[in-house]
Amino acid sequence: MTPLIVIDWSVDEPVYAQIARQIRAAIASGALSAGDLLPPVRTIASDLGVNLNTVARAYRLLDAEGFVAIEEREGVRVQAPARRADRAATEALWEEHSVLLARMRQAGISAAEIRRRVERELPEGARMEGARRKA
Amino acid sequence: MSTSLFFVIALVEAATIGGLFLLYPRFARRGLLFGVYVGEQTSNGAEARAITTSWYRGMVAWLVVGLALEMALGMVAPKPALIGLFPLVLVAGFVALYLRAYHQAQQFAIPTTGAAVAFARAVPEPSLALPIAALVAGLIGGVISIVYSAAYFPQLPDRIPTHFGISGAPDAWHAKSFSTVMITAVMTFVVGAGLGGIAILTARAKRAVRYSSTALGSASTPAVESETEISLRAQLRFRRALTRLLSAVALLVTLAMTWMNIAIVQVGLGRARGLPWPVMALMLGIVVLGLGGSLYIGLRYGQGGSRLERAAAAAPLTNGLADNRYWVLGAFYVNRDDPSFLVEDRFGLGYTLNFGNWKAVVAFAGFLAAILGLAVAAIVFI
Repeated sequence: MTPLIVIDWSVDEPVYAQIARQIRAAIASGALSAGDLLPPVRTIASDLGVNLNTVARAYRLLDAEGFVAIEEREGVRVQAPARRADRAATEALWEEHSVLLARMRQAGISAAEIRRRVERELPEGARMEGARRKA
Repeated sequence: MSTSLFFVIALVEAATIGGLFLLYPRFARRGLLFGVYVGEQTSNGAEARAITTSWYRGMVAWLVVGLALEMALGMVAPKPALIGLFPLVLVAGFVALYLRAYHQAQQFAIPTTGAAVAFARAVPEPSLALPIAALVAGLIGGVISIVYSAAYFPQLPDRIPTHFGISGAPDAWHAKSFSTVMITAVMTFVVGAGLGGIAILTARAKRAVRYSSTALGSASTPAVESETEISLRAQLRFRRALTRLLSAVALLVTLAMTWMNIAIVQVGLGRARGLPWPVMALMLGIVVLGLGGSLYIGLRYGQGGSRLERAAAAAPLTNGLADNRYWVLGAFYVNRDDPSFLVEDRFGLGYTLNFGNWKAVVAFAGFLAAILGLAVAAIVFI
């Protein structure tokens, strides 16, 4: 089964952001795992009928975020999570996290619901849930 | 040319070329109607059927009248020129009827499409081994031909054979010149390598698959869609088959033209009486393979694998094929952003250029200019 990138022309979100978001989501859902090879820039650009720079920009963004590694000869590969968090990156992510939490609360999502979802999606959370069920 | 042979060739032309044209609507991918994307439901509706029926009637009438005229002229003078003219008459009628149907289909055109789809993981593509072999063979065959003709140039007599009949015996001679001697050799290089190059580009042509409409709604979590899988597999099989056919034709054309070039030089030197029969048989075999192979691919796979993707045919098309904004007259794809060289034809069998990609246009124009230049040179010098 092949995860898809679906570009919707009717929304305001730029195409590069749509590509990056969907590859991130595929990694998060497990549809793409560490070591998987992503298609060459030209193939995705040809499939979607978009400029090569648009796809390259999405790949560069994902590379900067640590989701993929752009290797000169091998292509673009999905990266395993970093073993140790970088201090600057951590600070930036916590800031994003705070903003996202505020947006979720503002949208009316309850704290309990956010907590439930986070516990379910984090690997540690899943283990905690499993331990609780056994108890 | 005998009248009976003339009639047989005319009938074969009518059956193969006319037959292929008549089958085009049956090859087309669902959702497309004479070069217009009208949506999967409309393309199966009564209005679409009426346009198609009208097109069939016109095409059959054109074929019958054209063949009758050809036969009548053949009775008076069975000239080979008429054999060459007949396909052009068929093409002219085909273009006129297509344009009428295209304009009728325009009223159902879907202005823009909602989505384009790509794959987030590398998926299979046709192997490049055979098309690369065809390209390399074309280059080698071309170089061998040029070197061979150039090497024997001083030894050739003042008058050399420049045209050969169906039997392989020369029927026209011309004064020796650099152009008359080298033209077949250069043609071998251009045609052999050019066809090999087209086979490579076909293997990497733009993919046009279907996607389930639910995939658009759940774009935040990339969908795993069976319709897309079916469509992708069908489209891959079609592209692989067409790549193999093109590569095989390219390899055989290189072989035939290299052999023919050597044989022409041998006839010129007085060492042979005419072209050997296997060369003539090979030429005929290439025409049969090209037309027969196209018919087989059309009937077995359908354009873009349309006949293999029936289980998914209700899902909308994407990836350029469906977007009417990028198609001029339903036949010319012009998308400046798209880096693709070749894209699937909307009506017919095979692939067309992305006229929005200047590299594709330059490559195609160069190939066409080389062929036309050589053809004009052949007429002027020979």
